[in-house]
This record gives sequence, C-alpha cells and structure tokens, in this order.
Amino acid sequence: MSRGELRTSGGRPSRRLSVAGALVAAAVVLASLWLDGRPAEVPELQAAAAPSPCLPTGFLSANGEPVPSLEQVRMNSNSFLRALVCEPSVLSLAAEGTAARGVGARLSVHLGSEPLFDDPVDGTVTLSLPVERPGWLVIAFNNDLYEPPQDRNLVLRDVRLEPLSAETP
Amino acid sequence: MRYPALLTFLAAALVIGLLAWGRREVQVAAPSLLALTAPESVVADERVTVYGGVLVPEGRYELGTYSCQAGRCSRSLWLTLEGPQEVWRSLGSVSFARSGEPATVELRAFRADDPSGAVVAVWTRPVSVLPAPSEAE
Repeated sequence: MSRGELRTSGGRPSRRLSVAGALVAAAVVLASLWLDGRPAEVPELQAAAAPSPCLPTGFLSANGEPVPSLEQVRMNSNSFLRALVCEPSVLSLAAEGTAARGVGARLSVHLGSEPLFDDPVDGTVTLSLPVERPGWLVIAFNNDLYEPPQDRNLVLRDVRLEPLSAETP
Repeated sequence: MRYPALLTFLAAALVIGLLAWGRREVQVAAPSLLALTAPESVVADERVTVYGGVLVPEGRYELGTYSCQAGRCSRSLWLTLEGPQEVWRSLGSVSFARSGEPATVELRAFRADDPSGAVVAVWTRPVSVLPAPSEAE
C-alpha cells in the first residue's frame, strides 16, 4: 500500500506539470497565430507637427533655394514652390495658363495635404486664398504637356504671402 | 505546481502582451507628411505630378505612389529613403483612364529592412475622374 501511495503522490505533480506545459505551449502557438493572422490595420500617414519654434522661410524653389523674384515665376515644366507659414495669412497671386488637349495648366495650392486651390487654368485667374493655420504651403504646376503646337505652361505673377496680423492697425 | 491554471493564464497573457507590444512598436515609427499636392479631381488621361515633403524618421523606408481604379493599382514611384531627414521632391505622378469610376491616390510607406514588406503607413484619398474635353463633347 505504501508503495502505491508513494507512486500516487510522486506521479500527480509531474502530470500536472506536463499538462500546464502543454497548455502554455498551446497558448503560445494560438497567440502567435491570432496576432499574425489578424488583418493588420495600417495606420494613416500622419501630418508632421509644425516646427517649434516656427520661422517663416519665404518662398523656396524645388531645390530649396530662395525664389529670386515673386513678381514673375515662369513655370515651363512641372515644378513647385514652398513656404513655411507660421501664422494665419493670405496668399495672393495671379496665374496665366495655356491649355493642351483642351485642359489648362493645373495650378495646385496646398497647405499640408489640404487643397486650397487645385484647378486647370486656361487664361488668367487672380486668387486671394486664406491660409488659416501654420504649415507648409506648396504652389505647384503639375500637368505639363507639350504637343506642338500645343504647350501647357503656367506663369505666376505678384505672389504675396501676408500675415493677417499685418492688416490689423 | 499547485496552480497550473493560473500559471497557464499568466504565461499566455505575458506572451500575448509581448507580441502585441512588438507589433505596436513597428507601427509607431513611420514617415510623416509635411505637404502633399495630390489632386482631388483630374481629367481622364491627364497625368498629374504629385509633389510632397516627407519627414523620415531614423531607419530605412520605402515609399510608393499608386493610382488605383477598378480594383487595380499602378505604381509610379518607388523610393528608398534613409532617415532621419526631410525630403522635398516629386513623389511620382498619377493618371486615370476611365472617367466617372471611383479612383484613389495612395502613398504607401514600407520599412526597408522588414522582410515581410509590410506597409507601415498609408495615405489614401478619393479622386474624381472627369471626362476628357473630347469625350465630353
């Protein structure tokens, strides 16, 4: 009897240990499968935070150099200007575009990824656009096409970015 | 070994927690957008270049720009960027063949050193495709 008791008391803990080990292994496998197999939710590409402190850059060309003159910016091929805006402002400009295949030269003005103006220009438009928050402002000509004699081009004139605070007395 | 059920539960919770934490870490680091000139509407077959500024964190990333319509996406840019840096450039161009059908512009960011090629962040916006002038007449 004593041998039987010894066998019983010696066998139960190791069996429990085996069961626990098997359960842990199963949990690990199931957790791995569940986490890897679950369709991953891809986060949205976020807007970068405005730099702090914010120092206005003025208009820069595509290569990062300051634009020499904003009285006339001739865009004969796809290109862009950018400026860091640090306070609510107004962007004003005139744009002259020519069309090809019946579509004018596309003028895109974006604050971050938000479009403020994004339309083909065939002829002349004058714009005054509120820029209501700090961020990067981009002005682009982005649908260039040359099919002689048709040629899409864009000329910007009198590009001005003026803080709203400058207008208050 | 007096509490095998409790041990099992704690071990499973630890494993699940660690794996979830690992996945969360991968998702946090991703490029962010300074600006993007993706169009909201285009004319069919009009090719529009997308310009943008991207803030790239520490690490190697890949960017792809896609035009998607009728269940198909065509890629116009595949760019490898080493962070940390700020990049301003053309991010490819988008074009859509069929007017009136739903379309999207997508910018996808991948970790270059991730062999699974998982997308770490995506930017998607719908685009209205208008008929070309010759088509409209």
